[in-house]
Amino acid sequence: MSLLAYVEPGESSDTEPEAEAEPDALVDFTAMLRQRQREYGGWFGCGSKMQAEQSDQGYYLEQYVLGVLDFSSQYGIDYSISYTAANVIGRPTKFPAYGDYPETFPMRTYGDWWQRAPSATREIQAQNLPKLATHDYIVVYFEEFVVPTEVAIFETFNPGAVVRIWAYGLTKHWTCLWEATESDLARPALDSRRFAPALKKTTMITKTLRIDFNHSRLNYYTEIDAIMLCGRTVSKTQSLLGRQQRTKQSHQSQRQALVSPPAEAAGPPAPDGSGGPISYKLRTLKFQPKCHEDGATKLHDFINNDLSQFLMEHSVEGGEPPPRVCLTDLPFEILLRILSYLDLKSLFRVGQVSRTFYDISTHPLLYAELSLKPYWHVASSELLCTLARRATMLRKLDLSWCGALGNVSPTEFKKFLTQRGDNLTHLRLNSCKFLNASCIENVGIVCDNLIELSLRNCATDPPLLNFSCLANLKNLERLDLFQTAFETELLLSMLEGNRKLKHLNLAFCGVSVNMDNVAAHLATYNTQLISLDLWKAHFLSARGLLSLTRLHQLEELDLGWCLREASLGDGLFQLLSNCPNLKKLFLSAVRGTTERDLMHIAALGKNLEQLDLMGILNITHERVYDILVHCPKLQLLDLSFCDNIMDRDFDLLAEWSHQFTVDIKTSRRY
Amino acid sequence: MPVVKLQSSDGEIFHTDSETAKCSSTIKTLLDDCGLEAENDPLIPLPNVNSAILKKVLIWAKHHRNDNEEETGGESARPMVDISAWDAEFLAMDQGTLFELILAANYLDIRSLLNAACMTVANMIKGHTAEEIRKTFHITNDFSPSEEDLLPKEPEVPEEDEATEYGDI
Repeated sequence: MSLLAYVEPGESSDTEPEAEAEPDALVDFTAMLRQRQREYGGWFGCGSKMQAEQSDQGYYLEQYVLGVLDFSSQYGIDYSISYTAANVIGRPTKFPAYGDYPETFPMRTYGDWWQRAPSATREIQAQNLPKLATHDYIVVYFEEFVVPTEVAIFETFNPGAVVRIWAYGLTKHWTCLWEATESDLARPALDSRRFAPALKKTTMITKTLRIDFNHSRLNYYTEIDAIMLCGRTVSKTQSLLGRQQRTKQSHQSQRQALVSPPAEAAGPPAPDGSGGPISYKLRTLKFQPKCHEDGATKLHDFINNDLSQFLMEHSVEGGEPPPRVCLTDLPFEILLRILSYLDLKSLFRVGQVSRTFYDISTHPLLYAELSLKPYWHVASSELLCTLARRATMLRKLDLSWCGALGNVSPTEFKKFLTQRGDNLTHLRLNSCKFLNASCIENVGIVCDNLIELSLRNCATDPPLLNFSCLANLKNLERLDLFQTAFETELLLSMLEGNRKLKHLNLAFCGVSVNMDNVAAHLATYNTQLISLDLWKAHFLSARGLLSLTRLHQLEELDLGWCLREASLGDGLFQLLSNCPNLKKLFLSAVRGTTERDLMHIAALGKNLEQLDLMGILNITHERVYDILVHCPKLQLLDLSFCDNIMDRDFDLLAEWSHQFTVDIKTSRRY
Repeated sequence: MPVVKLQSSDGEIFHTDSETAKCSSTIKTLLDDCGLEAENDPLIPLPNVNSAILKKVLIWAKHHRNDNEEETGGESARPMVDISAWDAEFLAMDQGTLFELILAANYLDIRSLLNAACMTVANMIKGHTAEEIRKTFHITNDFSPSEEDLLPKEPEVPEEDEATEYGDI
């Protein structure tokens, strides 16, 4: 899957001349559509796109998603049609209905529960993060290039997570068309909405969008039904003409600038008071450079060599005098401390201020932690090359989300790793599209000091993680393979080799992994494990669960959508008795959970803080009360789709939620 | 509560309680390890801090004297948290004073004051162009133009240019 394949210019502009050739037919079509729009409130056209009005400037077009290029997470699993990213394709299927529908696209998290769980990680180089950080994203493409005027996101469940809208232009750059402020995220009404914030005015042409999500304010999963891109198409001839005109104009103005220098600098002082502060200053000083012959060259000489000196001596602003103690008087280590609070972009800028600041801003200590994740849209091979020179003391590296458009080459990445990878302790390469098998092999060979390796969402076919050198790694404490396919054999040998492993994420690991074998391996070799995520891991049976009960240090266990059997035996009882530190237990849709199991949870889950019982059918409000009374540390209890909890119980649950200060999630309809 | 006397570089003497004074690790060491506290009415000369700055430092220390060092974060968990509202208001002062305060906090080894003050300066730098930074802090650009061209550009998206946009079609 390559982004490039979809953005090659010219690929889709063939349809436009056709439309232009038959204006009459189009008018009829438009009239028809207008009629339909009126009838259906404007959102349901026929087909995935609509041509609504005609003009000389190309056509105004409303189009729905044609395909998904990339996403960071989804609730459902790839081979299912429920709750997957692909559900944003085409027209809304549920809007304007509000509720939880499998035909939409929810992501993996909501709220800040995951950040409060034992498996939570700290962001690398956190000062780079924008105020509203991106937790998840989706990249989608449309059929036609347009100059975007509106992007509408159809949110059908828990709206309010969209924080940024990006468009990919023909110059192969991402432009942020809209960014949320704090007030935009104030919890919106629990109703479906067509969210179309006012976009930045732009002349760029795009058919590829990226939507960024921040889940921290969400009460429950958000669900996206569809995304619409509206704008004007640009016809071929028109744009070519436009280009010629513009180049002609810019040539002319360039020539002008070279031939005759601006009047106020070279000519006699204007009699009136026109002009900016500089020209005014020049006038009052009666400044007149000698420009008898070759005036332009002289002026350029002056601007290049003497202007800054001139401005310094005759300060135009007349600003305040410098203070007794200047920034530059502070000792080196304090300046270093100040710069350590800067984000990467500001750090680069401060390096352009003066030689002193260049020297400080390139100090290796400031590059011991590097994260280009917030700069995914500008990360490039060149940037990596520059950073490789500075980051001689690199310990932690996050290149997640980078290189999706081919601007980071695997070769450059490998070069970087060879130069700076040997002391790395933390490496995060989530959703890195430039990764190939040889990159992974390099990680295994070079980065033998890794404590954390995160390869989320690196699903490729064939899988990147086959018999690779990753088995060389012996010091791992955290391994995250969320939504990444791997060979079971490799995983087993990695588990055997990394006895200090504390956190393991194998969510969405695909159907080829026999999880019972993995569980048995974990119980033998990785008894220090603290958190384990097996979300939607198939082939974990009650036998595997019994193996897991030997992991006495467990604080977090996610078994969502695993264990599809009718009974869990006494697995849960064993787990709760043997793992007294358990803080987070997710049993979403583990249908084999019996009433007895729930009683065990109440009796033994003294330290439980987060408990997910979503979709467990035989839970009654008596058992819920039991759990609330006996698990004093409980903060989150998900009881959505627990069908035995009747509508009449919802008021009771709301009351308990208040009484026990536990956030209880239910599928109550509002 | 035992009283500590601090003498500024210009000779002024400040009376303060030892708890406030011990916000400064430097003073704490003097009092605890060098046994100054046992003395009656200890006087500590601070030749690197003038009275105007020392007065400010003591205001800050008095407000923060009950802070738990663990909570405010040691060096290991470097505080990336925002500056507290009280600190932000306290640190809203002219540059010269701010820098002197930083030097004093450094000399007196008051880590959280140093961090908050350095973060304040960092916030004055963040998001500004090189030229703006020069202007704010009265710094001379001593790069030659050719050197300037060689400086690596910050990771930034070039503004979408209409001509090139359309040109690609």
